[in-house]
Amino acid sequence: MTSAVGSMMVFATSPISPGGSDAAVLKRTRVGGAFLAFVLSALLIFLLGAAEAPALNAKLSNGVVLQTVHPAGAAEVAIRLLVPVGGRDDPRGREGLAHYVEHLLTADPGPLSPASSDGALRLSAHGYANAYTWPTATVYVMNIGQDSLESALSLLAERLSRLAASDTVAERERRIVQQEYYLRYGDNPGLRLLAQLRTKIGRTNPMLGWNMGTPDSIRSFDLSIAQVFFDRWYRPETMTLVLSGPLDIENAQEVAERTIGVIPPRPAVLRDAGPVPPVPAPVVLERDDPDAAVPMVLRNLFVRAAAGPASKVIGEHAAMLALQYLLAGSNESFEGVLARLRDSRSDLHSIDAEITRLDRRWLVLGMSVEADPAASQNAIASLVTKRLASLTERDVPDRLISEIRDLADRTWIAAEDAPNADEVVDWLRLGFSLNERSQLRAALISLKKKDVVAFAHKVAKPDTSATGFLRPSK
Amino acid sequence: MSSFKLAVAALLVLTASTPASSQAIEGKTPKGIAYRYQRVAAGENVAVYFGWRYGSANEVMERALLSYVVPAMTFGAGGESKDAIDRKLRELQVTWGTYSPLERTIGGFATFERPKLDQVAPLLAQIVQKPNYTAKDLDDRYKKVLIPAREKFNREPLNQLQFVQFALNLPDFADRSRWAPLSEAGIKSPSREKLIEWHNAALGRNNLIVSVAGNLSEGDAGSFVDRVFGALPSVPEPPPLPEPTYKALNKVIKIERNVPQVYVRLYGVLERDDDPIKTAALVIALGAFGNGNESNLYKALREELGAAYSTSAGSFAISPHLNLMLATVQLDPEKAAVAIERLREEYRMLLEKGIDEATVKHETDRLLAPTNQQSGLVARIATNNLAIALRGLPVNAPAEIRKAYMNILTEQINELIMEHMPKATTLVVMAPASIMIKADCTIKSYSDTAKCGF
Repeated sequence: MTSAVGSMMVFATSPISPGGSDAAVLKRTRVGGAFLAFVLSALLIFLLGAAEAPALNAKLSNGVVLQTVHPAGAAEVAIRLLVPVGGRDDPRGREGLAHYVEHLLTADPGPLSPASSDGALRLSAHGYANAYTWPTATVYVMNIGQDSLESALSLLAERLSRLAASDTVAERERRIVQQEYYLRYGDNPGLRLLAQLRTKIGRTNPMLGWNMGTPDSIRSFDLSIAQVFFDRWYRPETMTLVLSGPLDIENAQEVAERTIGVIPPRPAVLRDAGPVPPVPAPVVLERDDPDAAVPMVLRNLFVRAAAGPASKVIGEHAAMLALQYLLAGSNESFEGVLARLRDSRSDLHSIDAEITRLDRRWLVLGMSVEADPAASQNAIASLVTKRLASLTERDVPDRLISEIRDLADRTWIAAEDAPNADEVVDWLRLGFSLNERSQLRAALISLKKKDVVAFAHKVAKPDTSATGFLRPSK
Repeated sequence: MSSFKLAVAALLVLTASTPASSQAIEGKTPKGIAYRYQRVAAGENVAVYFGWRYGSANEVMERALLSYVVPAMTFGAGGESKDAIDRKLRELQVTWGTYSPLERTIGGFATFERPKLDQVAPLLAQIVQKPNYTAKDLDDRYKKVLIPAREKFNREPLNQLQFVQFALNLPDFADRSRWAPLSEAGIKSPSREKLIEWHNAALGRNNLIVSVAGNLSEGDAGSFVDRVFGALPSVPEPPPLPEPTYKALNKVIKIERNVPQVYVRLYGVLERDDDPIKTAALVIALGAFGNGNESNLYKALREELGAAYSTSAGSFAISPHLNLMLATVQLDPEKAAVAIERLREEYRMLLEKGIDEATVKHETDRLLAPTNQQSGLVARIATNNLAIALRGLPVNAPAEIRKAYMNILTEQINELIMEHMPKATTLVVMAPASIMIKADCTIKSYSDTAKCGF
């Protein structure tokens, strides 16, 4: 039960399917039960030998989309249920509510269960179980043996069908979420400052806010507001169930229909009713903190992603992946821009920066710099953006482009090629569809140095930012 | 600089080995270097972990040496600059780092791909045998890396609990171990001349153990070891590290500090035994006590009291013959007093009643479950084999412990719990002054531990 801060960089790498282009031609998602097509596919797959099984993409009767993934050699079945609700949907002043609801849905009553439900199963009864809340989605995770598929899905469906927590469990989980906050950020003054900055900026646009909430917002949670949130957002027709591993496709669909397929529908709500939130004004905070060991500058730079046709959006996504490579460098080939920046100045101790996507509309460059007390904090704050603004094609090594081409070769383009369910979920929760996946490979292959430079210049002029100056105090 | 974390006994890593790896083998190269080798019949990764045992030195100097000797080996070598060496390491896709698991050991690691073996060997030989230790690079490391790292290391709440615990229970180690607070002198760079002198005097081929894992033959591994380390001199054999005396104290110590959560650690000592059944029993017991969401502590502190987000319990080696047992929780301040009493009660019940069969099955299933984590497997195997070798354990120890997990009986575990789990435990707590904790001693800072007068 965790809240993902910001988003994880998706760097999809997986072996391409064996069989080359012929096998690729055969890879079609299978919809419904066209028996003849199935027989022909099975025959061709048999003839070609080691090609993956075609994946299933189907809709259950309650609207849940079922997607299967078939990585070779998987011993366990991975269940991932993606609900497209997350930190961006937290009401103002209730930051962290999506994460709290996730806790309530996955909590095991344990000793707090009423005597009559002693037989209530833990969510981990059939194997590993967990859940994660992102800005755009909450993902419920189970890893189980093949034989436990129906039991596990049945258990998950039961949990997501209603918010069944008692007041006692709700209060317990509220405290636990509070402790989770402190465990993750409590003794890190930099992260505490970042949480404050992001909460402030998130008041104008929740997409840019802080998933976990703050101690104050968490204090306000209770069962009644959690129920309202659950009733509004946990609608099966918005959910995607991804099953990965050794699966019998037909059986998997039947089992999913019997279990996840009975999650009851709820009245529809338009997510985008109302105006698009404005771009928040930049936020700056300074703090003297006795827990801070060294002076730090923290920044989150928010950039509106390219809009328009998918090719443009995905093209920019490819440039973003390349820029991340350029910033970090490669242990194996070239020194990154950040390392060279750090080494160029004697007053810098460390620079960390990462550019990732929050959703289809927003990208974020998160950076933190540790410097000498005497260093100018404003100069340090603009270090990375100035460097990005001055980037030229000469700064983009040939090795980067060839590594991006290698990445393209390894990038999965259809669900059945994905190495695991998490790669599929990571793509979907960014707001992309599986149909757009093939465009990523094409975009990576055709990426030029000028694209990386143009993107870097764009990032150097963010649409808004959150900046924190942290100084040690006695 | 290694940050302090709970490290489960190295032997636990063994259970993550997949059937694709063979058993470990020990031997000596033609140039007399002791090695452990294990073949992993998949992939191209090779991991080489190495460690020297060295003799007593000035304690402050020792901390400083640890901070520089191995990390700074790549700051230029054989007359080539740091940039040149960095570039060569990148081109050959070599990852270099430090690894020093025990007192009086110093070491590191290199990982790379097998096809690059012949090119990597001379580069590593240059790095290991002829480091430049240029003054400017040493100074940069001091200012840019070690000063901030020291500040963070010493402030970290869990580290401060550790400092207190060592001062109380392990006074032999308290002021000099790698788990003690870092002093300014402990991070200041020795002079270049001093480093080179120490390097030449202490890093020999006869006090070295190298652990190699990967998809390569034993012959290739041995040859590689000789090519990298074979030209090192033979040095005086370091005296064995005297085992520290553990002063068992049944006490609660509170450090007052304004923190948002209450940090708690329960400590005890476990004597190492070469009996795999005993080792397996204690690992299972600690897992059942505090690790994961099926553990007693998790159920009590999180599910029943709502006082903690997570719990952990395990042990780590502090000397060849001693392991330190610890359980860690971070508590809701409002429930801390009750939760601490509950933690102690759960431990008492573990000693008195042991664990049941269902719990044993759950733990052994978890320990024996095959891992899907192929990435890092080779490094984990090499690390583990080196740690075992440095502790003087037999090469087949991991395999024997794995067998023990498969065959051990609940009754055996419970007998061993009653006989060997520490009866006296030291509880160190960090909490604000306003949080009332029943403590035998309350201090304002870890540096005041001596005031407890135990």
